[in-house]
Amino acid sequence: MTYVVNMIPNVFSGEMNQDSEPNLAIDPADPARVAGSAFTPDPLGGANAPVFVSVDAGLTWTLNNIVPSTAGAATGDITLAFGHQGRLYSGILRRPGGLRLNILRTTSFTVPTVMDVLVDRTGSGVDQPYVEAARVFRGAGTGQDRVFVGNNDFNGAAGRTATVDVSLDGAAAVPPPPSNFVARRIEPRATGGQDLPPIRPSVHIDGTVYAAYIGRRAGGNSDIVVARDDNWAAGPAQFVNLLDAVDGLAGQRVVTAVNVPFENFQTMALERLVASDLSIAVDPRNSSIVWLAWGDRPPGTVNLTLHVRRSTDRGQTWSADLRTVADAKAPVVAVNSRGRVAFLYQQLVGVAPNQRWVTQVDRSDDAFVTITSTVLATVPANAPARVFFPYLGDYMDMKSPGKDFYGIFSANNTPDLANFPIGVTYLRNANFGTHTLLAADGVTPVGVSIDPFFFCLTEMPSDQDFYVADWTDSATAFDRGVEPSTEPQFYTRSDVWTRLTDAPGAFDGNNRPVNEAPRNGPGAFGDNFAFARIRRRGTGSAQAVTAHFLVSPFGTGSNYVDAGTAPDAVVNFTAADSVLTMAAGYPWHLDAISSSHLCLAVEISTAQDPVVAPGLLGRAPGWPTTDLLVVNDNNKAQRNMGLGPTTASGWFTRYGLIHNGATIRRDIVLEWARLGPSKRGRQDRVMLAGGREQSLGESGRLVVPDMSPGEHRWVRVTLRAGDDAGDTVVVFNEMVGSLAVNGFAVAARLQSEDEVSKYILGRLLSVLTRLEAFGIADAGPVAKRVRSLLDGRISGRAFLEVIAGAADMLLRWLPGLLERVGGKDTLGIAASGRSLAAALSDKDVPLAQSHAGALVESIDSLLTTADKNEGDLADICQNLRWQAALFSGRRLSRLKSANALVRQSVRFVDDFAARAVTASEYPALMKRSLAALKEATVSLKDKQLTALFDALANGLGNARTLQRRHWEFLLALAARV
Amino acid sequence: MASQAPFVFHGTVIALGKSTEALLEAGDRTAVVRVDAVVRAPDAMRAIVGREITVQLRQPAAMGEKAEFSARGLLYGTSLAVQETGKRKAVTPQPASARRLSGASADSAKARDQASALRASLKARAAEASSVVVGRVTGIMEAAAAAAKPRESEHDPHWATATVVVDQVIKGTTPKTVKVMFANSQDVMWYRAPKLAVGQRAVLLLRKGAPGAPDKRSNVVMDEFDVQSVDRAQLVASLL
Repeated sequence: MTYVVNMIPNVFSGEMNQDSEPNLAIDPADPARVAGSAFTPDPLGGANAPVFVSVDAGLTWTLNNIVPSTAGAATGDITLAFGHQGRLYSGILRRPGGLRLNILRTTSFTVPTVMDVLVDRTGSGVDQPYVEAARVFRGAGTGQDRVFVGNNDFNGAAGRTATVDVSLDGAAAVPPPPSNFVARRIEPRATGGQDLPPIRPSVHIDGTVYAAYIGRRAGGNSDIVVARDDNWAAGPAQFVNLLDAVDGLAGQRVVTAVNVPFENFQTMALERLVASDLSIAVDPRNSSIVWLAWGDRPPGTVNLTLHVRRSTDRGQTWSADLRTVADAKAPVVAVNSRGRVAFLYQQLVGVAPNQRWVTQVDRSDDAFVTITSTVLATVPANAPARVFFPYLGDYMDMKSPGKDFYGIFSANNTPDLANFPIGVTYLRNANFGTHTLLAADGVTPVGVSIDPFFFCLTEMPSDQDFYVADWTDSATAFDRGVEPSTEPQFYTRSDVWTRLTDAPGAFDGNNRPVNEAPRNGPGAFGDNFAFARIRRRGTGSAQAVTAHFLVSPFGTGSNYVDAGTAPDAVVNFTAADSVLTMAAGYPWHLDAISSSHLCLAVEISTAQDPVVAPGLLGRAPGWPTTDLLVVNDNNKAQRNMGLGPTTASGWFTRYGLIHNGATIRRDIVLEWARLGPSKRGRQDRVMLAGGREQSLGESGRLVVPDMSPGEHRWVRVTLRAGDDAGDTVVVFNEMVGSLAVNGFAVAARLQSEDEVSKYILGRLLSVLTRLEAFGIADAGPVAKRVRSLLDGRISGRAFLEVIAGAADMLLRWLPGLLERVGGKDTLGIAASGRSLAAALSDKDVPLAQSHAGALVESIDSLLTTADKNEGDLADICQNLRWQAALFSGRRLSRLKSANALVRQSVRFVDDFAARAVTASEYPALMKRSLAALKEATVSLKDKQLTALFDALANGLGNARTLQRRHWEFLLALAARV
Repeated sequence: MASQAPFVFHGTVIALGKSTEALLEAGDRTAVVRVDAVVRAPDAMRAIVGREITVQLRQPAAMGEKAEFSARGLLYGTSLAVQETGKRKAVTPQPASARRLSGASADSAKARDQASALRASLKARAAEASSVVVGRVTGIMEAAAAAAKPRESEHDPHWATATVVVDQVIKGTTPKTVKVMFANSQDVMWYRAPKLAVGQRAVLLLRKGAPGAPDKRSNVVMDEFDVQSVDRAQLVASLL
């Protein structure tokens, strides 16, 4: 639904204020909760000014007097932004006091309690506070509000006035001022006495903070500058991560020496121009993409001309103008969760005295090559009479709470439908037939004035917006489909799960699905059934939703592959359905050779609501950029939690595969944190394979050093059981800078000895099945014995017996298995075997269970390594992305065949994601690529590389082995360029 | 109490423990009150006679109780929610009287109330004034012309200096001619500040060192009550 709403509440129908310069905030956890502001006084003349509040996505509005001001007056400049848990922040110029900055906060914006004053600064004066906020999504400081208030602070030394006030934990800010806010100066260059008023921050949840400002230079011209901080402005120096390509100082100058007029008098119709026309918006999918809009006065023109440009490399280089609008002001850019950009502005059209202000939004998916334009309002520019400057506002606002765009503008409020081409709703009394405003009594005529208008441009109607919840805590507390979703652990409580039988199972006491560990094996034994609970944000139409399931190894960074070969599941929604659980599962099979430790993902889609590209196929969340594939797209969900049982005196062991999903060599940083009430146990440990064990405290960090693209290593986690209060849960986040791009969780649940025995024997059976598939025939009889035990209750004695036999067999074959992976026992298999032998000798069942679990899991991981060393179809696209990156680099891009190779590599990756090609076409692609790879090999004159090239060229028959040889070749190539 | 409240009305309690405003939770201290007559409110809010509003009570109320409520505003939506700051027995509780009050009587009551508010404001400002004069503006000089501004904000007050020939001194001592600074800006932060024009004759409530003034020595008029028409000279004098 697209709508425009005059925001003046009905009870205030008699008002004739000049409600100009509007601003808007949207609660990221619930986009129906919206706050607005304008130069609006308390209707009853009290000392507190109001904010406009809405809890129904702007359809209705209420004024709430919570801004400290002075009797009968609106506050000065005011902007708003939501943090976490509904906290609303505001930057204002406080009355009385002239240029007196206040930064305010309320924990509940609908409650009529005056906001707390966190910052109160005047000195030489502070102008135009502009607030943005974001919650730390994962990693250090998770849940904290990071608050950024751009302002033009005349206290800045040497006329360097561009400033951002920063709080790294807005919720913890406690008066007296300045609470925990710190003013950060961001202008490094000499100015012509000052910077101009607008300093506009834009924040990405990965910790990237952009700040755009207009640096006035000596002589009067100005530079449009974009500064950047890559870690929340939390480091010792702030906003210094983007250096200008020419002068090397912080802040890239997008354009220099432009005329940005500062004319504090009537300039455009009844409006002034005071150099406040500046807007910046980072793409929520990718913090490297950032949009900028500003206004300047080109030579020979009278009014402002607006410009829109884009950077795709974190602000270093910028496009030419992608959109230019003459005779316009107050530009705003916003980007939605699908990368669509919207550009809002007010343009003065016509000839005096018949000029009109046209408020318009242009939207585009292709950098304004094609544009969808929407005129929100076209109103007379010469009425009503101006009361003060600014007439409409030095700026206005627009944001995207997911797919849709919400915005706010001020305009002449004559109730005339011709003025609002897409329609309008007035909450105040009005007669559209006579074009007359009416007071609260519905009778008394009221004069025309400037009012704030809210608009919603719906990109997807709620009945068409389907999603799979990333988290559920109860029947009433669950992911409502917001983008990005709001809970850091989106992979432990999601609505995608697998079962061993073709029934979804009952939901647990927290209304969560119950996942069962999948089984591997021949025939029906390895059959599993994937399920999803699908919701939508509204009802009203019958829709068929397709659910596609994918799997990847348990851990982080591994690329997803399709779970099965059966046609995707289809879930049919009637017009009234808002949530449906798949009644029949999607059948998927785990071959005998496969590990049953997996991540499971689902992508749902309809014709109107497709998956946001890129999909998960052939990729891992977070790579090749730090995009958050799953949380940013409510059509995707992922389950990545290893849950196992243990007795009170035992512990549970799980290995996670750490895969470098990037195309660069890097250290992979894992940060762990314990969740829930469980106490730390003596056995709670973590170990990087081949390294030393360390204790798993409440939180910590593990660095997996120097990993090549596509390389994998193992991390072992051992956990004591939880208690009646809940499972022991430890989450591991894969960090890139301050952003957790992916993660997994390990959980241990307290269960009876019998249940633990069953679990471990089930895992043993899975491993024995794999061993058989690896050609180790001895595993067969042991598997048969285990299978027979699993049918009934398992005594401690029977468990010890069968484990003893299995351990003998496993350790006997260990040397041969280790040979397949290079001979080293980095997983600690032999040590587990020795510990198990001791426990068996003592007939200590819980201890034997714990050591047997460790032995089984380590063998399982060893088999996975051996399997992957034969090649992995899941990594084909990563190879090609890596190849494209290498041949785009300084050394190889000079080769004659480089461009063509890069093109065909990228195209294959794109086609693979679109399912236009499959792995079976990979050998043919590589055959076509050989000439280019040979050219590179010849140019480098290296014997080993030549040998690897020959192996590649002679191994084109099998896609899987080809992937491995291709990887080995790229590894050697990367080391030489 | 009632004299300072921004909203004074006669009302009848028609429900207890209820709320007409969705964002204000009903409770022991909320009542729905029908507005029978408005005694004091800005013009934009005077047409709510007959509407049911929510009052967050300061003291208990009874069903059917008729009273003159003093209140401050909390929430303004489809309905209105206010916080009671005072209550007294309504002097015109009957519907017929209420109708009169919302007609011609209401106009005179409003005029009386406005006059009372003006007196209170003038008294406060006159007390703070360092001098009060009746004078005539003979010249104006923009501050920008006098000295280049080192820094520029859209909220610059655009200080201007008026030359005023003093006809009468009501408070303090002044020379025959005084320089009076005023904010000539039409910006949102300053548009309510009084503006002076050449030829204008007025009562001037002059202050020195007021918050936001350019310096501590200059005579300044900043508040909307600082400049009054000459016919109020006697009124101002009587308030000192």
